[in-house]
Formats: sequence, C-alpha cells, structure tokens
Amino acid sequence: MDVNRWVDERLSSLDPSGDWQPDSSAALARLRRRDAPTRRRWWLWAALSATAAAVCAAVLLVSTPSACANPLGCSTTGPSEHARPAPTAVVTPGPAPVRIAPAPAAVLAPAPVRIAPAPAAVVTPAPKTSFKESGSATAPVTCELYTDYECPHCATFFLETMPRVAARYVETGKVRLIHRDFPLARHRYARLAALYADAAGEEGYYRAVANRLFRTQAVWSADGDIDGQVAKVVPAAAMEKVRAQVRDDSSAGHAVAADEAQGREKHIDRTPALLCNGQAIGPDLSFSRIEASLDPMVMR
Amino acid sequence: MEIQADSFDFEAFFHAHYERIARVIARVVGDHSRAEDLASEAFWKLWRTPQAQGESAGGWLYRTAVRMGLNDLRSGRRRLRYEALADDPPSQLTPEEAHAAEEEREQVRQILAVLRDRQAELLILRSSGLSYDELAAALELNPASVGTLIARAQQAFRKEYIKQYGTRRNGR
Repeated sequence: MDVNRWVDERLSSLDPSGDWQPDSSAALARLRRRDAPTRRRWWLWAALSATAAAVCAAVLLVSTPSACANPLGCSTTGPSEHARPAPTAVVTPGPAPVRIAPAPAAVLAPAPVRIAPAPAAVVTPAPKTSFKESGSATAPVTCELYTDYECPHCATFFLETMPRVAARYVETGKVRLIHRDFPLARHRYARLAALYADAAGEEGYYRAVANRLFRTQAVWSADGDIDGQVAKVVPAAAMEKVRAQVRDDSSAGHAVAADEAQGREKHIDRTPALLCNGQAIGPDLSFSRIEASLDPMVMR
Repeated sequence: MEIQADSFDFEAFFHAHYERIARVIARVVGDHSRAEDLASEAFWKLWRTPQAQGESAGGWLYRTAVRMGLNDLRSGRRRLRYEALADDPPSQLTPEEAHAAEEEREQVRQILAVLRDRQAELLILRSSGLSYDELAAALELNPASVGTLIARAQQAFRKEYIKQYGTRRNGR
C-alpha cells in the first residue's frame, strides 16, 4: 500500500477551514501594544543589563579557567593552573590531613574540606552495582559520557540536556549510558569531586551526589567544601564510609583512574565528551545534535 | 550570507508569514483563536531574538511555531471544546459525518502528540506545504536526507496509528 498517500490523507483532515482568515494586521497591532511597555522599560533594562554584564564578565574572568572559555566545553589543553592551591582534601576534625592527589608544590596551602552537619533530607540509596551505567544492557547503542565535575559546560549539559537524552533514549531501552569521570588537571577540585561521587556510588548514592555536585558546582569550586555538599544528600552512616573511601583513595580512586585511562585511550580532549558506539558526537552537544546522531544509530 | 538584524524588515516579514504560521499551528492545536495566540507568541519570540532575524528567520519561525503547537497539543488542552466553540460544522456534512471527521482529526493529533518531536515536526510542516528545502532549513536538516526522514516519519505515524486504532476503519 502507498504509505505516503495514506498518511497524507490522514493529515489532510487537519486542514483549517477555508473560511478562516487569520488577521495579520490585528495581530501586528496586538504585538505592538504588547511591545509598548517593554520599550518604556528598555532604557532602564539596558542600563541594568550593562552593569550586570560587566560584573558577570569580571567574575568569569576571575573564576573560569581559560580552558573553559570555549562554549563547547573545557579543553584538556590550555594554560596551566598549577599555581593555584593544590587539590588536597583535609577532613576535619580528625587525624592528620589526607592528601587526595599529589600537590604540585609543597608551599601551596591546602583547601580544607569541612565535615558537614547531618543532612536535612537524604535520598533512598540506589542499587550498588553498575552505578555509573544506566539503560538496558542489550541496547543497540552504548554511549560513554565523559565529564569533569568542575567544568561549567559539563554541569549545564548534565543538568539540562542529559535528562532529555535519558528520557528519549536510555529509559526506552535504546541506549545504554556509561558516565565516566575525566577530571581535568587544571580543575583543582575535579578529581576530588569524582572520588566523592564514586565513593557515594559504592554506597548507592551516585546519581544523587552527581546531581548535587553539578548543581552546586559554583559553590564548592569556590570554597572547596565538596564534603559539605555531598553530606546534604547522603545519610550520616553512609557518609562516614564515603569519607573513608575518599581518604583511602582506594576503590573510588581506581574507578576514576580507570575512567581517565579510558578517556585518554579514546583521545578525549575536552569535557563534556560523548561517544556513542565508539563514534564521537559533537563537539556541539545540543539535544538536537545528539538526536540527529542517535536516531540513525538506534533505527539500524 | 546572513542579513544583519538592523536591515530586517520585521513588519513586512510579519505580514508575509503570519497567516501561514497561524495555519500551521491551527493544524496542530485545532483551535483557531489559540492558533493565532500562539502565532503571535512565535513572532514575539522572533522579535525578542535579534540573532534569529535575518535570512534564516523563516526557518527559525516555522521551527518555533510547530514546536509551540506540539507543546500545546501535548499539554492536554481541551481541543474538542475549543473547536466546538470556534467552528460550526460545515453545512454540507450531516451531524454523523461531522462527528466522524472530528474524531478523525482528534486521532491524528493524538498520534502526532506521541511521535518523536522531529518526526511530528516533519509531518506537520510537510503537510502544511513546505518544500524539502524549506523543511531542511526549518528543522536544520541535511536537504539530502529530508526524503528519507519523511518516509520514516510516515512509517512511524502509520505504525502508531494502527497500534492505537487498528486497521478496521482507516488502516487499509
């Protein structure tokens, strides 16, 4: 049968009635009336915007590494930030400070990570196994998402685009998604954040912690208090185990290192990065771009 | 080459496209008043988005309009009630025929609402008379793949239609 004709017949039933005549003049007049108050406020808005833009630009210049200036993501290349304080975590109160990653210079002051009070509201733990994977194991497409918790583009992508990708492809069994850590050396707290997330994952709180870290990135990347943010979504007993793992830098550390090795092997040079069935998507990782790449893959 | 926003004649563009945009949205939402509201909203967004004003404004506008229509459709508006208020059935139809036609329209919209965004957009804009080149520009597609994507969208539409309503009445 002729599907084209069949569908055209169905869709032609939607044709608006012929006697309906949209009135463009009236519509334009309504648009102008709507625009009038806007125009009156324009000068005030412009002045405020200019001030706000100047303040934002100043803040960005101070806080955003130049490697993240590219709108598509944070690059692995670019000027070093090793002159900044080392990515070191000190859990206080407690015994001696625990170094999470080697400091580039002994004279640099460590960034303290405080133990937060008990969480007001914690989430129900998820199953422990394969906490970095989601979707069906038999999905026709496997995607690997490489992120750095301190990369602002990763936060935007993870919080805004990934939920749409998950709803469209992962939850429908079309895509199996593996979230991999790829902390960039220039981000002082990125590896520590990944350690916390993976350690929390061992206790069943990976998704909650990953979401929390991306949502509060601007806070902990400024004050270094990753522990405090994680403790807000992990119960006290589990949090103690998370801290122990982070101190030991054992299984969580190995998981992060394994992800980093995978990323290097696959020539990841920026975050966020998305590989689907081994094929790099992007660098534009808008939903429409991902959709355009994934649709042909899942339809095969 | 991209036309600078400064030289963009918004009023001429509005008059040139408003009716067609309203009709595209009306196909999706069914209610003429609502379609005009959404068409105005689409132009308002264009007015407030200087970077969209230029040579590609047409594509941007159709894309925005059809998405707004689909969002409205999916938000569960009571289209039947609006249509009943807005349009009298054509006089040449019996009440039974008018009811059947309305039921058919509602079924088609129901299918469009559950299709993937891209497939629903393709079918709506194609049935609104856009050419392959216009579709490619509006939905940011490779012009060479438009035909294939339309065929897939049609297959998906028919599959979903038969799944929901069977072949008894319309799925010959």
